[in-house]
Amino acid sequence: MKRNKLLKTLAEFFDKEEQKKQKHHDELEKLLHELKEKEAKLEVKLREEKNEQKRKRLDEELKIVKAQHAKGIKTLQSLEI
Amino acid sequence: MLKRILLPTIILVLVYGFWVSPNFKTISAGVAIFLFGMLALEEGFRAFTGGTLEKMLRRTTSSTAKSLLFGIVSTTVMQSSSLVSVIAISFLSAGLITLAAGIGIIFGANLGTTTGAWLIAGFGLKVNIAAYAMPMLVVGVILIFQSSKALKGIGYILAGLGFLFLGIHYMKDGFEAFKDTINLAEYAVGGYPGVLLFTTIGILATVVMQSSHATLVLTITALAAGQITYENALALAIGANVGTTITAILGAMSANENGKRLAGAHLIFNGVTGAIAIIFIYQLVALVNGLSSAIGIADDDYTLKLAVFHSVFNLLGIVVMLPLLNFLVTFLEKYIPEKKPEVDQPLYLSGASAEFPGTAVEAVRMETQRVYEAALRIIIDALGMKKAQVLSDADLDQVVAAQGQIHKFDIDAMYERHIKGIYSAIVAFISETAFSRKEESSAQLQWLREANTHLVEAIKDTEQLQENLIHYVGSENEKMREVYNRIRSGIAFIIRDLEETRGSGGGMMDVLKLDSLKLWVESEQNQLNLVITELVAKSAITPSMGSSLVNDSVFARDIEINLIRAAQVLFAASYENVVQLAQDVMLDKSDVNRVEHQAAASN
Repeated sequence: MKRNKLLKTLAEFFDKEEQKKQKHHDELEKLLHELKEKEAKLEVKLREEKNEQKRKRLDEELKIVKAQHAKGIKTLQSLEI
Repeated sequence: MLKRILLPTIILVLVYGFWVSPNFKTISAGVAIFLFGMLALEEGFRAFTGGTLEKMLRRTTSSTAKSLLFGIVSTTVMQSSSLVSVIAISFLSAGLITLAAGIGIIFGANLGTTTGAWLIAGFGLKVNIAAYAMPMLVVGVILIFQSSKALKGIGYILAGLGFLFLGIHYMKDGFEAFKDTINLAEYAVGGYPGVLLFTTIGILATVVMQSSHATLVLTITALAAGQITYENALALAIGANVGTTITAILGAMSANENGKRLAGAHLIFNGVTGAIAIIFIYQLVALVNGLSSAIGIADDDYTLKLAVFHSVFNLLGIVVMLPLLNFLVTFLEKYIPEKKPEVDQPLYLSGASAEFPGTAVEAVRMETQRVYEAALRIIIDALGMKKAQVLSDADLDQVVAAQGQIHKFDIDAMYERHIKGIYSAIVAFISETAFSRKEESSAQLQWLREANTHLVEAIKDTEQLQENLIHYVGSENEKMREVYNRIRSGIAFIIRDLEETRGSGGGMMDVLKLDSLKLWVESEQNQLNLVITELVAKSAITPSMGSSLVNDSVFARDIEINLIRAAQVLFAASYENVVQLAQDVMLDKSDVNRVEHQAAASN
């Protein structure tokens, strides 16, 4: 009986860890989706922008968002392992 | 306003006094040398704090009886209660003894000094340690130049004693003229009015001559010559006892609050003792007569009887005041309060907020926000700008170009005042919060701690940058002025952007957008390097100016990056679980450099 109770507590504990990990995974996935949306918006803006200086800034911002997205994907993959 | 005009007024009065009276000049020089001696003495004793002297003093003053004995013995040996008082003040100022022990020494010194009256009355001699002042000064100064801390300390003590004696010597010299005009016989008055009058004369004479011994010699001479009555002589001795506190009061002028408290204790003790002696003078006379007969002093040997009186009334003072010692300490601590430096303290880090992970993170975030705001204020001030200018829509390049020069701003003092207290409390709070090592909020707390470290680093970098900034913004070299103004407007631009992001709510996407600022900072630094190389190549600036610029551009970059990193954590910390997510995608230095290379390659 005692052993069963201990095993149950352990299972709940690992479940909690698992739940936390899953929550983190979901939130990150949502954030990556937002970043993808932002990326798309910036690409549209960049295509339409004529001013060279503003294009440069938009391009830099786009590169940053892409780098953030790539970094986030890596973290997401590590959470899935 | 009053403070602002006080110093010039004092200096003007002094200058006028020097011009009118050479004696006044000598006396003032004496006071100045004396005070300098006090400073040197304190410096010397400070060299021995935490070591042998502290242990020895603690052992010799660990109880009231011991500190009393210390005062009695040291004053008997040195034959100067004033010197023992000022040394006790410097001990106390250096934190070597407690106030109670200091008061004990002062009480003892009062009894010890009565041995002088015995020596004068009995043998007509006095140990004159003032004669050692000059050798003390010479040996002291030689020792100050030594590299050993102990020798340097001894040097300061010797030089300090030397200066004390030299100062007293000058004061005495200055008052020499007054001494000749004091003819006690002119004031012979009987009864209580006489006692009060002669006490006042005794006080004045001692203040003027800076020595109760000198007053006693004068009194004994006048008494022996029959110029004054025996009662008048006793009153003079009482006055001398009160007047001698002037040296301690002068000494306390350069001391801290504890030193001032001790001088206060000295004045209170001698004042109370004097008052008791005046009130009970006739009873004391009877007691002295009885005691003198008992120890075989002739009825007409007034000089020795004066010595007995001196000892008896000081002993009486100790008997009366000793039970009130603790009350005296409390009284002095209340009325001479310690001036606490105005240092900003944490407002949210209470024991209760440490109880729960959520409240702990929120408390640290609120404190970090205060550190962030203080850091921005300090950096903006150091740039020679106003917060309103930085946060306005005005063109920052034009704002900085419009200022011809910037003034020195004490970054260190502002850091100590507005940041250090809170920062230390945050570090201590996070370390003490037990759950910080096991709960998930531990990561958030650690990031917040790092954010604080970034802010402190930004301030330190600003301090490094400040000197050249002041120098070159006011420089004749137009190119140097331009580049340093570009550095200023660059930092201001980052602050403006950060504050705009904060104002917009600082949501997750806004926090991540700040990564683009990091890219801007890196590319701005590269462009600055190109500009500097070109300026040196064209000889528009010297290579030495160029190297200063390269170093300062690195400081500027570090200030900006540190501010951005701190802001990212702080803004993200407003939202639950956002800090972790932000860390998952936020770019670090190597990521930003990679993007920068990509951008450079595509251009």
